[in-house]
Amino acid sequence: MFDRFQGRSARWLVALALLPALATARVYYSKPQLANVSTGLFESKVNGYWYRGSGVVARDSRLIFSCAHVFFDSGVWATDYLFHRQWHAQAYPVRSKGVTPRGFHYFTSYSDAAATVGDESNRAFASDFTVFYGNPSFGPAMPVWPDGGLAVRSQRSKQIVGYPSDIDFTGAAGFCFQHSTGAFNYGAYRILGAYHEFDDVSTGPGNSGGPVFVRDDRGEEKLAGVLVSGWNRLAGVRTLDLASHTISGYALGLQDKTRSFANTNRSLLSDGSYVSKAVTVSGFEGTLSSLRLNLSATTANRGALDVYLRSPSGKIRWIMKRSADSRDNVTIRGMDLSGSFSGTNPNGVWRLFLRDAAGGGRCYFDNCALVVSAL
Amino acid sequence: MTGPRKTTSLRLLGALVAAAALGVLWLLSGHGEGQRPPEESPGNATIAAPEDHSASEAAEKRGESMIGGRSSHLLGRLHDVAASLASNDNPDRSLGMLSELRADIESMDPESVSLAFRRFLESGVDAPTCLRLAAGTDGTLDAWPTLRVFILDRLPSVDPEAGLELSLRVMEVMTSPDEYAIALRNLAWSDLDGDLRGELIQRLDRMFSRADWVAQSSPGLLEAIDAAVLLPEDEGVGVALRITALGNSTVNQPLTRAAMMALDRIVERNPALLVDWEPGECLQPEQRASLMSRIDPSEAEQLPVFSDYLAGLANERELAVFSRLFPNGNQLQGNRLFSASLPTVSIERRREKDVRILDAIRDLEFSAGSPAAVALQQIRERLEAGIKTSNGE
Repeated sequence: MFDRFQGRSARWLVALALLPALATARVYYSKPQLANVSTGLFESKVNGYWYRGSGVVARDSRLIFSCAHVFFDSGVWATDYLFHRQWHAQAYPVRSKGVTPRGFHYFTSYSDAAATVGDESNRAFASDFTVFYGNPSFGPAMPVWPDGGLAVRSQRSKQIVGYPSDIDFTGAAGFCFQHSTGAFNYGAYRILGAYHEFDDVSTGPGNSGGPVFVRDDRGEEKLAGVLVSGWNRLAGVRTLDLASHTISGYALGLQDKTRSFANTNRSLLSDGSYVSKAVTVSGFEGTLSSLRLNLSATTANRGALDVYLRSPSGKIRWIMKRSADSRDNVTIRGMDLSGSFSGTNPNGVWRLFLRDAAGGGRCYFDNCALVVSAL
Repeated sequence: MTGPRKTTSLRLLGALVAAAALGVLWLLSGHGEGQRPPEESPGNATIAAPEDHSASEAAEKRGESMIGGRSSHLLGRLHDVAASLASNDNPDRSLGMLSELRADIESMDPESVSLAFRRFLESGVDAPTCLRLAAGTDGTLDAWPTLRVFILDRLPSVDPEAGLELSLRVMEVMTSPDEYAIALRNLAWSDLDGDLRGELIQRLDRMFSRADWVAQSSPGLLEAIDAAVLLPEDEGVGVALRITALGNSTVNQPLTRAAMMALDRIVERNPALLVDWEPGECLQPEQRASLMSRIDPSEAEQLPVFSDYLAGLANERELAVFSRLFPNGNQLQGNRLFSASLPTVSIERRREKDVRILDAIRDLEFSAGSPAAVALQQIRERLEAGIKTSNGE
């Protein structure tokens, strides 16, 4: 369908399988106030069609947070993305005035597109999140909440801003004005992971990527998440979390910190049963980028050992399995397990499981250490 | 603005009533509809008189009977959860039940949990949850479509060997693509030094040989495509290309998208794969352009590939996408069942690479006015403008 003011074809950047937008506004309203100077209208060309949505400059002037439902449609990357910060007019902005990010980091799952129809459609793209980056300064950056989920679930003052093409699903055209829900303070409900839903608030189709701001104790507005779905009187929000903090942090060139966590409680390994040695990791603000293992065990027959590592969320990775290796003792230094665990939340209790599977001997766990790197 | 959710107090009341009902059912257990197995009580376990066995053997048997008792209790609970799920149509409630079960299991001894899980899986009982399969941060799941998928997901963390054994059985009977996906993941987790890699490839191929599963394209099947990224590169590319071709030919957009994601992630890891690559007719022109946009002409062996590709581009759509996208600075991140994502490239490193690529293509030439020459000029101008801006010019 066509935008009636510029004859520009537009499709809505919505989570709900591209609802058809209304061509004609049935209700006229007074022009709203500009709500936030860091928020802007986003446009992108995918498979020859232009889409629109919203985005916000946050954390740093070189980053824009949004979502990107259709930026990788059928395996084809979008081109020609344009950001028009604090655009606030009835007509579309002139494309030549838009700022083009260098690229984007698109957080999505393989199965996102499978949920665009049916009962689950309002939760389609629940993990969808994008950080656009660029060389130029996109404008003043909003500060961010490290744990957006905690912020949106609180009773703090909030607002959702952006560029809905249809106001609150009423049929009233939003044109290209920036809109806000106004302040509200009730909390969202956590549905799954970083995906939350607000009852009794909505902005309208076309506002995907619209920022969700939450005020802190000093009254400062900070970005807590982006709008990823919506319906009449319901808003789905993907909140900022460890993953978004990591993606944006690495984009800015932040360096990991590396720390070692050990368990030095020497103990005898039972014949046949696993012994669990806990290693508690803490203090990281990003997902794991590197994990190395050190392990010492005293044994007359290392081939009798079964050893595996379990992450705080339950993923296992074998270190050693029973074998014909009859040499004594085990000394592992710097075994690289990054490929198995990178992207994991490193904080929590890791467990090393060991057993003397052959029995009959005296096998001791001496010590182990996990060397963890993350933001 | 209107007030908070009106159903909060009703939900709380409902949860309390449900909890009380479950408690009554548990107390009255053994009088159900035949789905629950016969109860085992410690008194039924075989314990010989102490004078007939050594003290340690007696203690071992008492230990087994304790495990049997706790396992029976958990098994009963699993069947109760199955019954509750079967009569529930609220996904949030399902998620709550399973999250609570998951937390409780973590405080139980692994032997009891493993035994109960195995017995439940062998019973054939299952229940839908109204949830979609959703991958968590390190390949474990955050949401499970059925109770059996939940158990298959959690079993390796309490008993890896049992997890593998039961996963192999699940993959043999092939009753559910979501179960198969998690079983395949458990197989990958059991691999120590690549010894199971060949089996992983075979099992992945078998999964996609099921036309009905492919047509359905459940979340589990789509997430399983990530296994291609774990394979040796040539094998992974082959698998992902076949699936993409399947998606293209059947106009299965979710399948195509997932397969192209895997391909993009493989090629991003090693753009040199494009040097000897011949996708043939598997890909649509724009898809080919998206993948080729990963090529790095600052690497000597890839420069002629870039040049030949641009020179040979006859399809206008492909040329348009490639000239606007190259060099591709986008990255896919996310939670994966099998593979890890590459770390995000920093803005500075991206700029440095753009400088190297611009240097590499600066002296390339095509026939004046040819589509390749026009495209190359567009690429150069875009790179130059971006680099100047980043230099503050």
